[in-house]
Amino acid sequence: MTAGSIANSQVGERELPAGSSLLGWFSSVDHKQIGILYICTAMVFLLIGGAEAIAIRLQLAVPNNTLVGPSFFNQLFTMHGTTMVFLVGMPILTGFANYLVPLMIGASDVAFPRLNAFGYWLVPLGGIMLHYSFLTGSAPNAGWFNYAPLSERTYSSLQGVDYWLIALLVLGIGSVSSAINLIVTIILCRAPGMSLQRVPLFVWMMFITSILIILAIPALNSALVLLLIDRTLGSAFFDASRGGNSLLWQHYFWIFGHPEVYILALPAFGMISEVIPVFSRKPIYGYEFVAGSTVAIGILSMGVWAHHMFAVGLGPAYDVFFAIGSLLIAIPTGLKVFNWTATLWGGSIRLTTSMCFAIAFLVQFVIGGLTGVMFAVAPIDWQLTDTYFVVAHFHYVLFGGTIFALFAGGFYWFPKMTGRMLDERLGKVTFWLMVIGFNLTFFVQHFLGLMGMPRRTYTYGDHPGWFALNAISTVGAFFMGAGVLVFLWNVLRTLRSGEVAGDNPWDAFTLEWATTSPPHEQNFARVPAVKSRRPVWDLNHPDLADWKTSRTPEDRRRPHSAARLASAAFIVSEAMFFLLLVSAYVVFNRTTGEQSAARMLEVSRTALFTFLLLASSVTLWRAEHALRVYDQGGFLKWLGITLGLGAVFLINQGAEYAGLLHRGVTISSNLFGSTFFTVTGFHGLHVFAGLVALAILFVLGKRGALTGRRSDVLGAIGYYWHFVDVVWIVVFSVVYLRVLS
Amino acid sequence: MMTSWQVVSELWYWRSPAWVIVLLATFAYTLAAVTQPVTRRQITCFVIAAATFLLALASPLAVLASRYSFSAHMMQHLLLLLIVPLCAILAWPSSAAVAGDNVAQPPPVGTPALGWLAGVGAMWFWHVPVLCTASMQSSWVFAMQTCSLVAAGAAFWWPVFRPQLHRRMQSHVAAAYLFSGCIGCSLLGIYITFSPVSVCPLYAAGGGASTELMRLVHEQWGLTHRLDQQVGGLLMWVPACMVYLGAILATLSSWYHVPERVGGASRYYAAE
Repeated sequence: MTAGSIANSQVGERELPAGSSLLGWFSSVDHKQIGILYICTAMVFLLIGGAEAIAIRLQLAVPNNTLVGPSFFNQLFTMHGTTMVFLVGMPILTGFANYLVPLMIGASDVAFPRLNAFGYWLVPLGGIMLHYSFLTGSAPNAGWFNYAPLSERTYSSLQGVDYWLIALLVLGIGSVSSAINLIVTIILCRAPGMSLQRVPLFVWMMFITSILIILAIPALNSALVLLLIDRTLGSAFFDASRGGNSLLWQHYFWIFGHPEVYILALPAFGMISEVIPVFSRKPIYGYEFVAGSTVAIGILSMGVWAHHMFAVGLGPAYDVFFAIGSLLIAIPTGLKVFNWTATLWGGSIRLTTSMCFAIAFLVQFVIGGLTGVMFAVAPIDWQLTDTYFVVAHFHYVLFGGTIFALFAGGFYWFPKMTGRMLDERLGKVTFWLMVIGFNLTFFVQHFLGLMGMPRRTYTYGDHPGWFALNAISTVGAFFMGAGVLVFLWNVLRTLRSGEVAGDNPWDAFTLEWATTSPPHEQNFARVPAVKSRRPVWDLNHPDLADWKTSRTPEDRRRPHSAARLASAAFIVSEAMFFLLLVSAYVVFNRTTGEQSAARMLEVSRTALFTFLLLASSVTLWRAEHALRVYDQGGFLKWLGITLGLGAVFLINQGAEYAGLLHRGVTISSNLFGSTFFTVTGFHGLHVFAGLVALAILFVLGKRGALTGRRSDVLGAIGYYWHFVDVVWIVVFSVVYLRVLS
Repeated sequence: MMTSWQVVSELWYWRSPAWVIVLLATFAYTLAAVTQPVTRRQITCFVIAAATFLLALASPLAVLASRYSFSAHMMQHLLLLLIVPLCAILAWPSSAAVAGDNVAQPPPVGTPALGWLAGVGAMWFWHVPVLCTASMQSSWVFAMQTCSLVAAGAAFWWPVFRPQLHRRMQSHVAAAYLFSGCIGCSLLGIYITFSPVSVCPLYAAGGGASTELMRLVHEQWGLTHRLDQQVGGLLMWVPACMVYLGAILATLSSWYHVPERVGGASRYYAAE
């Protein structure tokens, strides 16, 4: 396959990036090393999650099997799902994005390298925490969506679920930080000429994915903290027997869970959109449509979560609207499939391993998409929910789709990351093992589901046909296991003695191929001119350059403060978090009992302190102004007043809490107490965090380390402080003034 | 009992002032179209705006919305806030727009901040239960509501789709503007859908003059008060968001569009 490839510059020995010692990897803030760390960590968890899958399939290989008991089986499928989504899918995609996005846009690194390292190190922390639960005697066993009330202490009294909750919080914080980093990087760090309308589709899809992450993960986080408070402090958010509402967990989880599907799928779409054009020797067909439909998918995905809840009986009105909304997603997704197919059409196709995986992706993803359309129709969902048909459906999307795209991307970018070509012969072996294994395992599960085999049940009776189909499924799983092992062997062998790749072995189009393989620490000696969507093609084929025949919008002015932009993105994510907490307050304070409890609050006193908190926004604004005009004295004075006002607000909140506790209102006494302390407590924590940040700036200002030149730092924290005030206005209106009651 | 067909064929408000307004507007638009060039697309937009206006205020939908169905009332609001002003702005003749370009506007009029607040605020404002009831009881409040919805809708769409192309919001800013507007309306929709509180209690009271129509809606169509409010909330939430989504895609398409240089593509090729 390399016969037609062009190695167009010096094919040198592989250059080790600086600091490649073990300590270098631990302390690295280089986006390439962090990207590889993400990928390697995810591979480790892939082996763990894969082993769990093999164990599940072994148990189900024959009817009435007793290899593992029901309780361990519950732990197996819970850990398999959680691991694959949070410790394999998300980190590996973030890893590829970390490695590739800065290279593709011609940047030397991400906008915040240290934040990047922070985000990565939360992955092993969360992963270890999750798996540590095995040592407590019971790993989480309530399924990957951890439905209440099963996950409440009444029914899951061991600590597995607590570990699950804390681990996911940790991982979620890491995901949000890396998403903010990517958003700022894509907006600010692009090379000259690289307008947002010219970025490679992988970059665009990561951009939309990152926006989805900052909107969706906070929904999960709010659900996690509410359940954690239920389990550890004795509140009853999701405990219907004490007035709570276990359906709320489902809503919150799927507000996160449905966009999550696209968080895992969009980057895969991006990879396919890079691989197919290069191996078809054509630019992507309809770039604008692929990019625009991604936006449509992103927006639609935020509004259709209830189609995961058809079976709970929301009512006919919900079912109709959510069915229509869900069916609509098929339009932009189908559009993408047409565009990829049209790119293949008439291309001079090179069937490299990477391309084979991409084509298999297309076929399998369409199958998974079609069964998805079936599930959007509520009556079909009622019939098939909780059967193996669901298992088949989402494995076609996430395995046949995302994992196959990852293999396509892996074979495609491996030469860039390591400087060596993966062996194509072994690659084809992997490919066939995976395709055959995957379809053996999961295609038959459609039939099992139609026959009514329930998912998440540790064994099954010897019904006609069930044994044969399950046995086929288990055999398939071993094919896939073998495929992964061959792939790992291929990687190890290539790292030792693989063929040297050169800069651009595939004659590819985008900027990452314009530097050495692997790229040196600064990424580019010189970034080529960007005049079209395929700068490296233009460079290597000047006569056929894209910009001569088709024009794309020029690069325009872009914002310049990375700190402010990151702060704004962070605020969006925080707003989502508070939105769900306040919603929980509204949901739980509609009954007369709770409303009479709410009347205990002293509105006029709080109104006074609300005024003080709002005044602190004004004083901070004065401080920002003083700093900008280099009035250091004024800056310190106004910042000092801001700190004082914030502290007074917190002291009052403390006094109010003491009064309520004195009168017997605690977080566990009733739903008013639970929601009141949760909402105002989290707000108080945010005020406290803001005070700490401002105090640091105050000290820096005192020492003369913060002057007008860096006023955007204060500006960024100012955004956050103003946001916290706005949240308080909402909290005050809803909790104290009861405007929604 | 009344049939659904009778509702569609007979329940028109022939004496609604909406007919006069549409007639006057058509007259004015025809005058404008005679004196200035208008494109076929602009004429289509005008026809849609006028038809939607009548649908909202003079058709059986308006009758249902007056006393019988909350979801019809919500549909009426959505048409007045989202469709009528949008199509009216898109129908604006280009040359009139160029002339209007020089007319100075007082500062807050036509700005995105005001547009956003008006567009999202109007929806929230008119669904405070007291005001919702008032609009059903007093024709003056209803007239004010109608005017304010159309005006707020116009203020919302104006910065994104104003006729002066060069003064429209930048596409990516417009996308964020529309997306946040969509969230603002969705939140209200979600609240109405899930709220056990009746947003417009008068619909539950069954105060409609025609008991026959009341029975048709409640019994034959199966729109109980609870379901009616859910449908209303869902209309605000899902289809309304589709309108915003459509607008976002429209702004994106102009974002990807490259304005032609003078002399066309061949000259561009030569110049490079």
